[in-house]
Amino acid sequence: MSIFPTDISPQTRNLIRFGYGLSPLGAPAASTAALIDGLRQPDAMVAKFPQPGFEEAAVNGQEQRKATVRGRKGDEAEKQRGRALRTWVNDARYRAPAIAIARILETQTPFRERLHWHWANHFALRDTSSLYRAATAGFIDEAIRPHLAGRFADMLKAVALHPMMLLYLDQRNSYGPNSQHGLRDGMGLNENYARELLELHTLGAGYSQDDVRQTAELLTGLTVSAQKTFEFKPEMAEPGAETVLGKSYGGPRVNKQSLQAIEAFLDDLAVHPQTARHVSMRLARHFVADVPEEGLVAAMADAFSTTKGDLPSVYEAMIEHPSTSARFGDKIKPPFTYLASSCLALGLRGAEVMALEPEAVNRLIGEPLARMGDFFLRPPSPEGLPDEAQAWITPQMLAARVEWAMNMPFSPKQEPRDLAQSVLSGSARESVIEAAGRAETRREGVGLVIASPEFNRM
Amino acid sequence: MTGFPNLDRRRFLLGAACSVAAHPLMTQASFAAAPGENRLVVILLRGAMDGLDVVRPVGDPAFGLLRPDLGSLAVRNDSLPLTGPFALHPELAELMPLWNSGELGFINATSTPYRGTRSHFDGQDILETGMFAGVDGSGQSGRDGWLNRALGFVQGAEAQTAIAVGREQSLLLEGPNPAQSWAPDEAFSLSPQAENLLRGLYHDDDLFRDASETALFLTDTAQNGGAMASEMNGMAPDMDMSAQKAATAQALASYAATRLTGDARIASFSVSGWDSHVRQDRTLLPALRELKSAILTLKAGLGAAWGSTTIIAMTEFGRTAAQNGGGGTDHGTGGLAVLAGGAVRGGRVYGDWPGLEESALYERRDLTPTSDVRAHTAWLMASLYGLDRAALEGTVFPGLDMGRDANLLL
Repeated sequence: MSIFPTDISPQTRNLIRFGYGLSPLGAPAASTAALIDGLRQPDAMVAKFPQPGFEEAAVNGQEQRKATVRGRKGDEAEKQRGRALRTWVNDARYRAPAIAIARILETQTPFRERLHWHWANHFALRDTSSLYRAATAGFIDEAIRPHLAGRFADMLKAVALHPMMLLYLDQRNSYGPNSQHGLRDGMGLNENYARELLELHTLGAGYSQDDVRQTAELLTGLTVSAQKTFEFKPEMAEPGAETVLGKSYGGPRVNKQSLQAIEAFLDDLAVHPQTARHVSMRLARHFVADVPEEGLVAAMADAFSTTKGDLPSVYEAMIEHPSTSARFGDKIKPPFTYLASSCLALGLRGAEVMALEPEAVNRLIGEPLARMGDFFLRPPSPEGLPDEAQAWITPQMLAARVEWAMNMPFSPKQEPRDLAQSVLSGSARESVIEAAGRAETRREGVGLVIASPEFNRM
Repeated sequence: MTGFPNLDRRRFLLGAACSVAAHPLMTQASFAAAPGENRLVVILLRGAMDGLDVVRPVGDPAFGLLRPDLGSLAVRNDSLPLTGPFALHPELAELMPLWNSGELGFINATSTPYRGTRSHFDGQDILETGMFAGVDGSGQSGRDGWLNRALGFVQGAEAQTAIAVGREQSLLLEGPNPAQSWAPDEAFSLSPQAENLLRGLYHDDDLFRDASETALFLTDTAQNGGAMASEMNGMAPDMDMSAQKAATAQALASYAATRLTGDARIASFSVSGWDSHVRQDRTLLPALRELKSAILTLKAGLGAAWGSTTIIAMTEFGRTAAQNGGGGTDHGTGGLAVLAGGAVRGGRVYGDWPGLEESALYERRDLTPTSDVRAHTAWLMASLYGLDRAALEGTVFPGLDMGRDANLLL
């Protein structure tokens, strides 16, 4: 049973459901058309608040390790260089949540930021070695973000051919058993990426172990160069055609065209009806309801298939579906959405968050977020963070949310009651506004608004 | 939820304690000569302390009638006799030696000029700004603190003369005159009133109600609920919530003492948790422990400087003379200020006692204020820092009539 009043304006609902809620500083346009149109505008936030690129972060991580090893052997200059690089890596890692929040605070297109994190979680990965400690944010900006308003196939291929994914799911260690290097070194397949590609990134269901095996063979050759760039290495690729889901890819020999065969496979996989369903289901589960209505998922999958995976069409089908407005408030904001929306509610500006030293960002934002269950940019598995309410509102994680709400390291610029009215704008019970006014200090009054079920839900 | 590290209670507490260290608003300390030896600590008791439960008028026949539980015979017998009809809440027993040596006193039936809607936020604003826009339009209101304006008149005051301690935003030292602020590592704690309000907000949402029932922050503060929760989780009890609260006050007071033995001469911080609408016999205890801990920590930390120190603890308003249906008290008017330090003329309860019979009560419900707490504060500023009456009545507390000096200091 919903605790929410039923007379919330569609604009407010869209801002809460598909953005980061309301700010006392004003709200961007949020009709369905405005949400979709915003995605087609230039991405101002990535230009204003850039994250270090994957390659820079990975190379710096590698250089840091080299310099530190040389420094230990007595090279003083290398020791200093190693220290400087370690500071760079740590600063970049610590600062990442501040950059993410600054984008949210300044954007006119909050839906883009929500999609950024949804898709990052769809293709969840993390650093598996200290070399890549600061590289994940760059991966998302490079492989995922440019395709948020494009075709799913383009995002899938950008991710599949990105070194970070090939590193994370061991693809660079997968050798065709009959490839040149496979035969020379006695190396074989690693099915890890092939399996997650089918299970998590695309089909979800409806494939066999043989399909996994054939996919793994087809993907051999995708690897990472010493310079941390993507590389297709024919010496690792399994010769011969592979048959996945009844269709044959690749010729008898490995050559330059072999990469094209992989891309053709990914193009087909991206528009498979099962992929349309799986991708729609994950979007609906993230944005609308833990258990979305069948009609909603079907409408989205239909839009997906009709347009051959044009994502804005899928989003539009989701936002416009009648069950979406009916289920308002069903979802619990995941930790980062919750924390960022509270910063927006306080009327914070991007510059204020960016002014924090990296170490302060970690202590004031990174650590509270971790206590809520989100180790920022470090999801526990390729499955990513859960979308279900029960995963986030446990006694301990709820305590972490309340602690954050009551101890936010930024000062509210409004009276608690005013803040309740401006950021909950008709979406809260009267009792929340009353409680805000009855707290014994302003800080607690504001904290009660941010800790309320209404503010935790979307 | 597999794959998540188990955030156990210990880690939760440790994390909480370090997460707020080195607050971004913290300012750097610098050094300069200090003006004189007199030290002042202003403690804001946020949430409206029930003065009638702290200094209990056990000798007033109306007390037990108005408060069948909070003023029962057993409660009266447990109270520690002070002077006249008054006796101290037993939770403050450790302060009795200070009372006996004349280093602890109280001002009864005092308040700011604030009357009417009894809002915490408005009441605290007036307490901190020292300004009150009266119905006749004679007064002023503003957003800078009286202590800050007073600094402008303290000879030789520098940026490091006054320091605001703690994370609770205070207007007291806000304003044009330079002052410092600092926030120590504070453990997370929720005031009983916030806990109650939160419980109310969570009640109708099943998910939040179920999770919060076992959550660590919603504990029965008076019964060592924190320890109980730890035991329920099969973990060793390490620190209950009220002990945590006292630790917070200790951190604030300890830091203030360090600065006051250095260059600083004026410090302020807040002790909250006084809004005791329900089960006051329990809910008031953590705040009392915190206040007690603050005073004892200041004494220990100040050492020889204790002799030249004045502490005044004041609250936005008092509470209803009668207890309410929930075993608590509601927002009232006349309240209590606490005085401590080697410089005060303690062992006394100042202020004219208006009595508790119905005809003597303000609006037939609250203790009637017989003095303006700003006037007492003004006299302290005059004695400690030589501020003249014109500055005090014109600028520091615009429109105040200081009246006669109650001679609170030695």
